[in-house]
Amino acid sequence: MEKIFSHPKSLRKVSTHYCPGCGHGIAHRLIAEVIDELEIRERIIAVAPVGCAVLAYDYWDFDCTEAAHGRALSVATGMKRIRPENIIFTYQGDGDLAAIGTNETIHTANRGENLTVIFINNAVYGMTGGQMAPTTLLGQKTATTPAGRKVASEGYPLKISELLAQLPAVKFIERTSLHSPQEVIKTKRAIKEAFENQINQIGFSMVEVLSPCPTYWNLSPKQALDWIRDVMVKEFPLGRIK
Amino acid sequence: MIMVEKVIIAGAGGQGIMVLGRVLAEAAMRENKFVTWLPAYGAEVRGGTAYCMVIISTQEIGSPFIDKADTLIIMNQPSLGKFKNRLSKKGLLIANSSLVKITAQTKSGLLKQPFTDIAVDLGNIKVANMVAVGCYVASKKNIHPETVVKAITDMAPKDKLALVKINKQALLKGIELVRGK
Repeated sequence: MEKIFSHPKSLRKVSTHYCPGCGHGIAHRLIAEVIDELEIRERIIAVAPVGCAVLAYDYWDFDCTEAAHGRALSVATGMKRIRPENIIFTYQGDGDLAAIGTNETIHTANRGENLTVIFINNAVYGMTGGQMAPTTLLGQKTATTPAGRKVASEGYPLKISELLAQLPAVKFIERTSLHSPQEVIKTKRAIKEAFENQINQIGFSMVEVLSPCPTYWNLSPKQALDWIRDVMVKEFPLGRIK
Repeated sequence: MIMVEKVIIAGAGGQGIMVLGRVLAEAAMRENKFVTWLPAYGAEVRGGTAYCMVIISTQEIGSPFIDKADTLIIMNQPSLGKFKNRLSKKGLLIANSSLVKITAQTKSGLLKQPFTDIAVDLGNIKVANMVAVGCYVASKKNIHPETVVKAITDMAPKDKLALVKINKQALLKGIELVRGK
């Protein structure tokens, strides 16, 4: 009998510390499956973020490194310049990539570094207690916007993917979601393309993944997925951006 | 005479580990001791291990960090594995036997009582931490129980004053366990 499905080699068989209904578990697994399928596990170096996924290297079974908050893309740039044969990716939340790390993100993208970025967007700062993030929606209640985000005082949700798409050196940006099995499959496909682009030396590739945070959205896991489907995608439309 | 007491308290997030440490620190402070309380949080938003370090001293404390503790209060099994090597050789291990199995025997002192079960019997699982405080002050005799009651009462949020009663009951139960009836 042929074995057609098994636990990814690139994913350790351990329980994670994530909250019930968190999207990180799914995203970690998709990345592990893609890395196995592309047979690049020996060449991979991941850069972990600061945030709930700060310990992602405890869950993946390939080489990983840490970086200061927001600086993952600079660390990745340094590694890729020295070791271009390695496949190097960053895994970053919306705080890491689009708040404290905005500078590093824009300039790495603008230089067109041949890197893969997996951007996990859950519209809050998770690990630090649910504060407003650049991607928080208008009207969304967070620890620092208890009355809901207002344009007059907090501005609009930041569409970092759309901003980066304007840079000529950026080669691939797609926004996907985890709110249904179909969307999870599409996310995997996009992640695979983002890694293939690096292998084929096409250039800077990013996948923005809309991900549930039941704890800080004050929703049940199921309600959180529905909120992405019904509310979040209206502000952050899915599909190919570049 | 200079007296320094270093306590590490560890357990699962949600067992009231931080409050346990704060109560000890607040009580000792009311008895004119120098105190420090240093909480440590993991990356987890829910669950995980929580621990805090409390130092009670008759002189100013240079650093709130504890390398080896004089007393270790362990409220769940994973914390025992994580912290057993943070107890000094002649230290005291206070363990929540409801959730902790002690297999290896060491030279350190051992006090084990079923804090969680006792709290459940009293009517609220969340006061297991106060049963542990009672055992601690009764064994160590370094803080008066009345001062602990005062600390608990002072620390209670305005909208939760009704809970002081069961916290006090848990404290007295812990003391009773050590002193006998």
